[in-house]
Parts: sequence; C-alpha cells; structure tokens
Amino acid sequence: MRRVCIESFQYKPCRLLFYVMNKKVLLVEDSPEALTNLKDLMTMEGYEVITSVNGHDAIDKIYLYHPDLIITDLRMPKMDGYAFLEKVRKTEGGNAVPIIVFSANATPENERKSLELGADLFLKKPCPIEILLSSVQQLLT
Amino acid sequence: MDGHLRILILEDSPYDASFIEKTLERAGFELTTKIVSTRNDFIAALSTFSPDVVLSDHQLPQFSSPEALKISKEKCPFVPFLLVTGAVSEEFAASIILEGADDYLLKANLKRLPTAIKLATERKRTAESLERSENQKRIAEQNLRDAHERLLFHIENTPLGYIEWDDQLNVKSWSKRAEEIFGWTEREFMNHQKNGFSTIYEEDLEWASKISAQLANGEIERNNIQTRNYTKDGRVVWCDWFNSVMKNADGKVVTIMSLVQDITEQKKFIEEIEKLSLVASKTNNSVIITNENDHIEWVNQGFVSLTGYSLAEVKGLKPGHVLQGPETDPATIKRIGEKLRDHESFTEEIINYSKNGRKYWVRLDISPVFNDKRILKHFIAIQTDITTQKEFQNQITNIARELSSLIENANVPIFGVDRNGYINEWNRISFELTEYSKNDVLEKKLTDKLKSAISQEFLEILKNVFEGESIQNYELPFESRTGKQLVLLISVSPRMDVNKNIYGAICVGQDITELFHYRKDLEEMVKERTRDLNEALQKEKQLVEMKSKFVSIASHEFRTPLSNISLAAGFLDKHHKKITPEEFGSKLQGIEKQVSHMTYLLDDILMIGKGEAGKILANYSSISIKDFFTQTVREVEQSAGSYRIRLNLNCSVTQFNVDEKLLRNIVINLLTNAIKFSRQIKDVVLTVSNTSRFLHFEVADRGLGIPEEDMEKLFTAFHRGTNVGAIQGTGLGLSIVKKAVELLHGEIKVKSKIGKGTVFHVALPLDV
Repeated sequence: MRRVCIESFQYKPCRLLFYVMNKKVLLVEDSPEALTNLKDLMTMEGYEVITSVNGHDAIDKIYLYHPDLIITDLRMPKMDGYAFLEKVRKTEGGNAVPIIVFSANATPENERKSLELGADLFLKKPCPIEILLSSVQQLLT
Repeated sequence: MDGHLRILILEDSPYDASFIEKTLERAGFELTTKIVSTRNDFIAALSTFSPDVVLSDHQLPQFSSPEALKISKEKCPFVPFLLVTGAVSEEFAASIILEGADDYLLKANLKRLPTAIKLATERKRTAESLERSENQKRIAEQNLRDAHERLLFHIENTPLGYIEWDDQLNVKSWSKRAEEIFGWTEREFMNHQKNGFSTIYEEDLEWASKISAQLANGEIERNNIQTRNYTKDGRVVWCDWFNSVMKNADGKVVTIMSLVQDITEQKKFIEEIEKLSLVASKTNNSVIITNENDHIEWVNQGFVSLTGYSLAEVKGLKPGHVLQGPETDPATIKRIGEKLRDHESFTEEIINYSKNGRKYWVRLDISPVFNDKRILKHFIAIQTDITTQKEFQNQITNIARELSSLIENANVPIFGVDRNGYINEWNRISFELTEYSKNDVLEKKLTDKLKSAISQEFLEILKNVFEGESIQNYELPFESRTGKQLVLLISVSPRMDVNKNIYGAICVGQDITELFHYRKDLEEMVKERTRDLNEALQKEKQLVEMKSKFVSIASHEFRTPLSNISLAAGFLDKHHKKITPEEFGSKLQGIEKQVSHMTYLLDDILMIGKGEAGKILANYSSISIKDFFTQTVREVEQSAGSYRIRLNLNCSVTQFNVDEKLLRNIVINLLTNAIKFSRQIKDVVLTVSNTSRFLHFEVADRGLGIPEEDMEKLFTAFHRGTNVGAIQGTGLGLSIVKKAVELLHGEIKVKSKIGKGTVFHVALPLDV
C-alpha cells in the first residue's frame, strides 16, 4: 500500500488523482528558498515530491518512500551530497535510483566527483527549468 | 933528524940569532924558529909556541939563563934547554948543566950545535916515553882501585840485588839489596837454603832449573829471565834476573853472577794494563790508557790506525797535546780538563787531528780506573770516530734549521702539538694572528692554554690525526687572546718519526677570517633574500589561493540566488496561469529577496576590494550611542526572522564621534554571524560600555565556537571556519569587520571555545 505524500495536501484536490499515479521525486536541499522553488516547480509538473534538508534525513526518506528519482544539492549540513551519494549507492534499493546533482559548486572537479560517486547527471545552478525538467523526464523513462 | 923542529931562541942579538938559524938550516934541519929577548915574551912563547928545543943566550938584559932554565923546566920539563953563549966560565957551565940544562955551546964554535940538538931531542923523547909508561901504570892501578871501589859501592847500593853462585848454585855472595828483596841475610841464606832453586815458585821451577843448568855448564854465558820466588816470609815476588858466568883460564865455570830486581809492582802494573787493554785490543775503536796524570801509557791498534801515531811516539805525552788542533773547541777541552780533575766518567764529542793533519770527529768515553783502595790509577779513553755521523748530523742539523726557519718565517700560521696535546710548534704568523706569543703557548697543553680559543670538534680531529688521518681544509674557529674571532682554514697532518710512529700533528693554515665573514654575510644575505622570496611566494600563493577561493565561493554564492531567481522566474513563466495571485506575489518577493541578497554580496566584495586598495576613508560624525545600537539590533532581529538579541547598554557617555557606516558594518556583521552560528541556543548578547578613552562592545553567542586552527586566519577574506558545514556565508564578514575596526583606530579581540560559543570584543577610541 503506497502512502500519499502528506505535504501535497496543501495543493488543490483536483490534482490528487493525477498525483498518485505519478512518479515520486526526492528533493534534498538545505536552502529553504531553493527547496521551496524546486518543490513548487516539481509539484506543478505533476510529480509526487518528498523533501529533505540533509543527506542523513534523505537516507531515511529513501527507505520510507522509495523515490523514483533524487535531486540533491552538494553543500549540506550533517551529510553532504557526496557522502549521501556514496551511502545511497550502497543502500539496497537505492543503487538503481537515478540521481541528479544540482549544485552551485559548478566546477568540473565537482561534476567529475559526483559522477564517479554514482550520480547520473550533474546540473549547474542556475539552470533553465526546461533543461531541468527534460532531464528529469529522461531519467524517469 | 926527521921531521920538523920548533926552536925557541932566547937571544938579544939579532945577528947571533940569525947565525944560529943559518947554522941549523945548513945542517939540514927543517925548522920554525921564534926569537924572544925578554922574560915575558919567553914565558908566553913557552906555552903558545910549544917548542921542541929551547936555545938560550947567557947574557940578557934584565934576565939570565939560569932564570930562563928554571922557568923552562917548570913549564916544559921535557923540552931540552941548550945554553948558547959567547963566553962563560967552566964552573958556570958545570953548574948550569947540574941545574938541568941539556948542553952548553959557545957561539964561537957552533959546529957542534946540530949534533947537540939531535942528542937533546932524542933524550927528550926517551925521557918522555919513560915518563908516560910510568904514569900509565900508576893510572891503571888507580883505575883498578877506583873500579873495585865503585863496584863494591854499586853492589851495595844498587837497587838490584847482587848474588854470586858457584856452579852448584850455592850462594857465595849475597848483597844487602838481595837481603831486602828476599828477606834472608847472607848468612841465613847460606845456612838454611840448600841452593837458589829452593826459592823458586813451583810453577817456574822446571824451566828455571833448565836455564840455570845451561848457565852452570857454560852452554850460555848470560841471560835474562823472570821468575817468581818465595821470600823468607812466604810471599811470592816477581824477580828479574840478569845472570852472567865467569870462567877460569880452562873455560870452567867458577862463578855465576846474578843481578836481581824485584819487579812485582811493575808486573802487577803490566798485568793490570794487559787486563785493561785486553778488551781495548780487540776493539776497532781507538783506546788510550793514561796514568793518573793523564800521560799516555798504552794505546791500541785502533788508536794507531785512527791517529797515525805509534805507541812509542805518544807514550808519556798527554793525549790532548797530541791530538787536539786549531778547530778543537776550547770549551770542550776545558770541560774535559775539569772532568779529569774530578775523576768523573764522561762522554764528549771533540775534533781531533791525526798525525798527517786529517781532522776528524770523535766521541770520547773516558772512565777513571781506581785500584781497590779507591786510588786513581788510570784513565781509559775510548775514541769512536764519528766524523761520518757528525757530518751527517751537521747536514741534518742544517736541514732542520732551514726547515724550522721555513716554518718560523712562512707567511701562513703553522703550529703543532705532540701526542699528549702539548704545543711544540708556533710560528711567527701564528703569534701575529692569535696574539698568543711563543712563550705563552710553547710546552703548554693545548686544552689548558687555548681551551676557550678552540672548539671541541678540533680536539676530535686531532684524535683522528693521531690515528694517521690527514685533514684537509678544516675551518677552525679561533678566539684570539684579545677575543677577536678568527677563522683559520687548516690542514692537519700527522708527524712521523723514522719508524713511522706518529708523535704529533702539524697544522698549516691560512687566515680566512675575512673570507669567512664575507661568505657568512653572503650566506646570510642569500638566506634573507630567500626568506623574502619565500614570503613573497607565500603571499602570492595565498593570494592565488584566496582568489581561487573567491572565485569558487563567489560562484557558489552568486549561483545560489541566481538559481533561485531562475527557478522562480521559470515557474512563473510556465505556470502563471495556474497559480493564485498570492502565490505569484510570493514568488516575485522571493525573487526580489534573492536580488537584494546578491546586492549585499556585491557590496561586501566591493568593500573588501576597496579596503584592500586603501580607498575607504572614515567619515566621522557624532551619533547617539543608545539610538544607534537599539536601531541596529532591531534591524538584525527583523532580517533574522523571530530571533531576539539581548542588548545591555552600560554607557556613561551618550554621544560618540564615529563613521556611522563603518560602525554599522561592524555591529551588523558580528550580530548576524553570532545568529548564523548559534541556531541551536538562541542566546546572543550585545553589551556596550565605555572607559575614559574607549567605547567597548561585546557580541557573545553560545554557538559552534571557532576551532583553534582557524583563529589565525579568522580575519582573512574568504576564509571560512572548518566547522561551518553548510552554513551559508561568503567568508567576507569578519574581514570586513577587521578592516572597519582598523579604519576607526580600534582593536578587536576574540575568545572562543568549541561547542560553547564565541565572544568578540571591540574597543574604539572615544576621541580621535
């Protein structure tokens, strides 16, 4: 029995049906502004959104919600993006889920490291929403 | 009449004299005549002319023939005296014949004169010969008597004993001296001793009897033997016998006469000499034995070959007189003389000369020889020819002298030590450099005298040198006597004797003090430059690091708000028809907030840039302390949401002359930092107070605290604490605070403890 994302209740009931059928996206981001913006966008695009402010918390959410895709920041308290990537790739059921690293630390070094640790895609902040959304779609199909 | 006649004519008439001469010449006499007429002339002529015949006139002035006859017979008794007269009476003639005249002739009848002279001279010759034989007999008798007396005297007084034996060697006569030699009197010997053999020492008996038998049977007439004989008291004396035999007309031996001498002393002496010379004769060295007065008694063959003098030539002479010459050192001679006088053994080296004038060096070893009564008997001098050694020694001495002069005058410091560390070489330059004179250091221990001047390391080096190692180019620091610091570049080598034994070390050096200091200065300079360069490099590196950090941080810090703006704008663009106006407004506000954040960020960066470039000037104006702090705290509280800051105002002053913008910057930055890093315990306190000269304010939080390792770089731009994690920030805040405090001539201090919190204390001067 799948659980409904409680956070999505604040949105209109007409979208609920649609929602239940859709893919689950886990957003890991410590900056409240960034998290809000991303959540609003993804929700509006029809994804079921689960949010987390650090890697540690996100690991628990993966167990709980089995997301179809993860979008994660790199710089976060408690457990940063790299540690999170490593941990996810070692977790049963987490090793196959597509992960997009979405970071302002947009250096080739960080991109290489992220991909090495198991990220499927590295996206620099800022990124036009079309590219972000098309990347998400691609990874989910 | 043969031969030549010398005729003295006493005549006052020259005519008569001439007549007599003519008469004799006519008769065939060869003659020399002397004519005198006075008494004195007559006497003189008798002795000087030595006439064979005297012819005398009778009548003479102040003189007369009887007188002349008397004189003539006195002076020359055998010279015939003939009276030649004009006229005399028969009585007178007879009387004068009786007086002794040989004849008388008349001048008128001189025919008989030659015959008379002939007869007279013949008579004279006969008388003379008769007289002579009489005399001879008398003299012989006298001589015989004298000789006998002398013989007896000699027999009794000679140091030799005189003994007569018969052919059986029984004593016939025994002199006083023999008595002294043997102890027996003549009578005692005749009574008690059978014969001479009984006194002979047993060992000599056999051959002595043989020789005596030869004497007794007349085989030999004389001999000289030496035997040992017993004396009356049983002593043995050495006797030297001179024996001869006396034979009768038949050739039978009647008496054996012996002269005997006690030569025990000489014998002993000779034995002693022989003993002494036994060794001497075997050696090639020259040996001289002298008596106690330094007169040569014996020399060996070595002496003969060395000096060219035979024993016979030098016996009895003083060796010094024979051997010494012009180049012999007078001081040495004097020393030898003193030693001889003191009866000491000694050794000297001296120049001597051989017989042919060759000069040579000898080593003299002279020892006195004493008898058992400690009385000096001899000196034995052994001379060893050391000419070759001496020449060699001189050469070596010269070389050594040259060497030491070389060392002394070399223009580099040279010094040496022996194995025990005593200084044995110290040349002029060493003195000039170190100011230690030769007297200061020679024969002194290196470690004593120069302990402060040299290093321990050098002593270690010396140890190695004594093991045979040579050290090249060692830099020896040396403190001079007056404390000057020298550096000597030295080479140290072991000194070896002929057997390669190391007996010391010699150091040859060079004063490189100036060079050394020059080099030191250079090194120092290079070091300094390198340090400067490294510092510059470090700074440059830091700058590069800072820049790359800036780029990285700036990119992140700008990208984050940009991303938010982009997401919000994209959302609005795509979904503006599906959202409520409230949602739309909220998105736009979000965008504005991000833009203003970026503006602050830019301002901060610009400020840092300006501050680095020194472009900010404080712009002072008077402000109300209370208003300023209250207002600023409210502002921060608002921007931080529901955060509360405790403000304690404890100021005695109300107004403060300050650049408000800068002060604001300081306070806002400190407060926002305090809030940012203490989200768990929301307890930030701002305390403001003042002293007479400073306004103090403190921002205390109970947040993360700053790790020790970050303290140093706390105020560096773009540096962020290692424990900040994901807490947002540019790393510019504190660097801006620091800049601002400096611009206001204030001070900032920080106290912090990990996990407990941090306190920033700022003091700003009240009067500027």
